[in-house]
Amino acid sequence: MATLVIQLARFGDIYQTLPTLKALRRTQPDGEIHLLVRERFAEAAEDVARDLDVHLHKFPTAKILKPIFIDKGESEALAELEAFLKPLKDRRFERVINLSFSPFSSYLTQELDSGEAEIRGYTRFDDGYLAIPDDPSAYFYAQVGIGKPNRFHLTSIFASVAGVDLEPGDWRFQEAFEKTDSVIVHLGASQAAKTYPGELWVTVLRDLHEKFSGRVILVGNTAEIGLATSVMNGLGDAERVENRVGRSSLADLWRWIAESRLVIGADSSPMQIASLTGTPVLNLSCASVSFWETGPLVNGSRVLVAAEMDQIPPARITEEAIAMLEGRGPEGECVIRARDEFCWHGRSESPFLWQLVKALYTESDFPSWPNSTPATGFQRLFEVAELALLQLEQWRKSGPTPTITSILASVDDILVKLRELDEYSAPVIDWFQCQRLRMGPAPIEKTLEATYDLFEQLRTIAQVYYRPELKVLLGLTRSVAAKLREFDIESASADIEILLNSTKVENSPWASVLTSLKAALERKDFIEAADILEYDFPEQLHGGSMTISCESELVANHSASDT
Amino acid sequence: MSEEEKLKAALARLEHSIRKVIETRGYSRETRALKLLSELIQEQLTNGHTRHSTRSIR
Repeated sequence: MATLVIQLARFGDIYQTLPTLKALRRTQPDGEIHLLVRERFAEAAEDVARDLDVHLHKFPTAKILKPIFIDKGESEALAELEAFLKPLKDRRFERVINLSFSPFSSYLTQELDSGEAEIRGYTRFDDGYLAIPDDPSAYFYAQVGIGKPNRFHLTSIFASVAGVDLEPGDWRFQEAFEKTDSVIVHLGASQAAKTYPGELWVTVLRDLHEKFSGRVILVGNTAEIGLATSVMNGLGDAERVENRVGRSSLADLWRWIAESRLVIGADSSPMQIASLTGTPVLNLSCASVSFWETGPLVNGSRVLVAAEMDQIPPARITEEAIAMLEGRGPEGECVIRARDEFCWHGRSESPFLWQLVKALYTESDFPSWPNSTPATGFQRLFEVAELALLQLEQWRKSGPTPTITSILASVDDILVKLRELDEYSAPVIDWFQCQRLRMGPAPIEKTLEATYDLFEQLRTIAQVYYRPELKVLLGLTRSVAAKLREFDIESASADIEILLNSTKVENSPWASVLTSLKAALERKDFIEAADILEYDFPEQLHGGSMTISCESELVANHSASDT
Repeated sequence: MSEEEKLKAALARLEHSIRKVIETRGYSRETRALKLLSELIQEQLTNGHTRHSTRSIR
């Protein structure tokens, strides 16, 4: 089988693609594997491609665009593009794996599809709309990115898109180097937002030089020479700090990182190389990147996280680096890479959204609702799904009418708005929108049925957190509380029985509420009983510590009280 | 004219051509080639000297 892997992103993503490439070779020892990368970043893949017998193709962006720059026009640029693509098209790959997730790469993938190839990753439908044929790429589209709850690492996602499982051997790219007593520091990053300020680096390096007896080696590309020079000037006399910025090939960089005991720096190429050479990293991370997705993978690595890079105190960097070098635990709040997972040290955070995402895409259970506030977003989601299903049923019976199409358009608008307003239901809406996008062009009847099925799934998911029964029960609780406050005991008694029979105790907080209610009723303290019903009951119901039994009967018998 | 301006002008011409081709012949092989080049140019303009990750374009 001939497989083409497309990776058109920068150095960091190419490095994160290498384990997948190795796994592909392991699973197809005799298969023909090709890798397409941009000419400018091809150096990152050259050695590995040679070692794995992978055909490396370099996408010549500059050559293709040159006719435009010298005023020869788009026709010549198109001819250059076609000339580059022709041998790739002629090869008629049996499988094309696009790991780039960009619009351009999706068009390119479609262009390189022989029509019989298995396509994984973004491509295009026949009508030009984005097509996402495989589930891992759909996951990427819906759930991966800054501000989203994804916690799968990019290397794992690449492997999933390619359809391979990574094994420990897929991470070994370097002959074992003897460790030297050195620390690598990468001062720069590919974006200004990810770069730690030069003046703060001076403080870090001065402190590190004082507390660490080994060598500190500054690395970086030619664009970072100015930053390195100003840091070295600010540092003054520090004989064990070596400035090698702009003076190395990538092969040198690999070797230095492999030989060092620790790499310190932002989310950038040296950190990704460290993951492939078994070197721990002290990663400086900010809001413009996600350590969950691209953080350091060697166990023992740590991540210092702040909204902006300049909010990471220099003292924290030094103390954490020294703690790592001396084999001590964390000195303060940070993320630790341990047992192949990231975990927070010194900070607790709700894993609800991540568990929700996992439940949507894997076999795992949906998490409990995280707080005592009502799941309003899921209630709206349920209502919107019901509304859409009603319109689609009408469509089945009488065909599309202006009213039906108008209401369905409103449903789309509401989903977009709800996505902005409610963080809890956002991952579900992202999942839904992506699944809808994946349906692609089809006869109207088929599209109608697929849309109906999808809205049914949306309604089912919304019901995990929004139960109409809960709404009925809360209405009943309010009604009983009002009756007790008016000392209308006779009328309230029957409803209290229903309430108690409709619920069951699952844990102690609820048990204490129940005991308090019974005690208040026995004392004939109806005002306290009303207070418990009005304030404590709803909290326990929303918090999920109490479950409702006989739900359908409850709704059937008491829906009238839901007003 | 700077390189960026030349790219912007080329992109405008390509997008005009794409609209015309889609109007007359629908999304065809010809459209695909034009779209491919226009997206390549768009990427260059968005990423400006490719100092930003292409992954930000989703």
